[in-house]
Amino acid sequence: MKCSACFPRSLATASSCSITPRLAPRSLSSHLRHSSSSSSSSKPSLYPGHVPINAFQNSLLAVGSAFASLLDTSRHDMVAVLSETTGGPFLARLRTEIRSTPSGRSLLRERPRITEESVDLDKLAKMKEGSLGREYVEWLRRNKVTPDTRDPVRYIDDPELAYIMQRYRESHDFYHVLLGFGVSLPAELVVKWFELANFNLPVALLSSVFGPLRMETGERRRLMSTYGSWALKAGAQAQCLIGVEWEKEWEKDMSQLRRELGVIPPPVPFKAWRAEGRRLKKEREEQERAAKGFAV
Amino acid sequence: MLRSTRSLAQRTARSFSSTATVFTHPTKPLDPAPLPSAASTAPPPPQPNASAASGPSTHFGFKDVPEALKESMVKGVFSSVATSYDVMNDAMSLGIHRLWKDHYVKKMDPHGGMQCLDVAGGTGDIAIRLLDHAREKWADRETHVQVFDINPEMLEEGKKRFAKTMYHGGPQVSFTLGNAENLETIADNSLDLYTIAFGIRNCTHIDRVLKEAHRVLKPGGVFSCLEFSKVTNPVLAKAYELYSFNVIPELGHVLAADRDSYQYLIESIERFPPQAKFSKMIEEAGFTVPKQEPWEDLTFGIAAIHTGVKL
Repeated sequence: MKCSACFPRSLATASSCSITPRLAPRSLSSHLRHSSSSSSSSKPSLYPGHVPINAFQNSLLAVGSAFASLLDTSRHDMVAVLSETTGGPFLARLRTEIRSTPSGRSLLRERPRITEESVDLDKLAKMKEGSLGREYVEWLRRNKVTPDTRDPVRYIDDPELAYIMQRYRESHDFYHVLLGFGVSLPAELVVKWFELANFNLPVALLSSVFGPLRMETGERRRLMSTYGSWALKAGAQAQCLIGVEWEKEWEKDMSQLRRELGVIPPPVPFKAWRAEGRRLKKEREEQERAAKGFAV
Repeated sequence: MLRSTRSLAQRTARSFSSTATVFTHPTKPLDPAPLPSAASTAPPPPQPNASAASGPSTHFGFKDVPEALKESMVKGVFSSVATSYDVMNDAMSLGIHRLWKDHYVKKMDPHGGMQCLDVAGGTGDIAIRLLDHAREKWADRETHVQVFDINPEMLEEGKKRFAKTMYHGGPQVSFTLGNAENLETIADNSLDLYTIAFGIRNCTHIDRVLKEAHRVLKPGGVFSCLEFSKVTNPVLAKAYELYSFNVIPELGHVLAADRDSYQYLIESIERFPPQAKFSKMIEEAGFTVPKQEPWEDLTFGIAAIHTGVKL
């Protein structure tokens, strides 16, 4: 079967960064009939959106996306590219883990997607308070994101591994909801630490190590001391979350879900941590003002 | 029609057998064909216009597309790249495109209050250079450049660039949105200089563009085209091809968050006719091409300047 390589359906919507992610309009995908062929790689296109690349292009993208995502932390598409280009054998290990659970095997068979179309947000909003569906919808609203802000996978050659990567990306929001963190940089870093311990993917390692460099020293130290060891411990203790069928757990109560998955709660709720940060900052500013006042 | 038949076949196979091979749906990457209950909620894939699909097809990079749609697809590409156009040009050509454009304008040597039309002028690279050259070398403040582009986003970028120069709001520059194949707003025999830099390969009908260029130029007027061309040296050609296909789309993805537009770019460069053939096309449109130098290769033929005079 010859798959037609369409342009991907959606990219992250325009964010406030200097280089706005954009793509040729959606209408293009329906008009392109033949698979794209670049003279650098004669591999066939295995799924819609697949772009076969050779080793040189892969390393170029890995390095480029690593720098780009570090220099501009709002470039989520660059983190996505980094995850695809550094997946390698680690994704295969993840696949073995998924295959070891019944829910994981069901995922690989059905290949459900979590997008605006496949998830009925209105129905979830009406669910019981404290259920996964309700908490998920409220989290989306609070952080102003939608299920569609994830890039489609393009650079992974095996369709099954590509699906696993896509699933990882789309389930990322559920890890946030499970742990109780938002989308600010410190919160994302904590979730990345958790993911590192849970999935062992290189992209999680890179983000966990280099991401914190974008924070102020004091804040970074405070974050690491509060959540660092907890995130790693929780990630290692919990079940491999990639095999979880979130679509079947909408009605389940969050605390029960956390117990079943083996997720231990954080030492300090993130809101409290952030409030503490603001309080410390205010104190510091007042001290500086007082010092300046005396100097004059 | 073919798509719906196939999805019907898939759904039927699925309902009969739990172990049937599941194919991925063409418009939803990595999904098996949607189940009948889910199909009603999923939106139908956009169908191309029947009349457009049955018409003649042309090339869009290495793909074949209905002719009627190439224009809008090119428009889409340039809307997408407009804000990062200059950054990407510098990154891809390692800044050499500036040298090409400087040489191009110096060769044309505009002065004496010329009426110029810069087609596919977009971000204003050539237009600014034309005016600067006339001013700096000839103290000429009468030369007028009309920046002409099919894409509104590119024209906006051009206006922004001009706002940073001394020509902003002055009589020397004007901006027009339009199609190079149909310069209906411009009168016959009215221009001294017609320039088109890195634009003509994106046009659907190059011969129509050349004919229109011939119409609007005065007798004695010059048509000058800067465009990517074929590298003559086979070793360098291979190196250039490797660089193009291996590095440029990646650069596009990292710097401009847009791989596909730059994939289109390198494919359209491949598709553009070589120097001799393009020179012939210019002659066929009615121009007289200088015999000593019908075209000038730049950087081993990566780019070339084609000239034609209307006599």
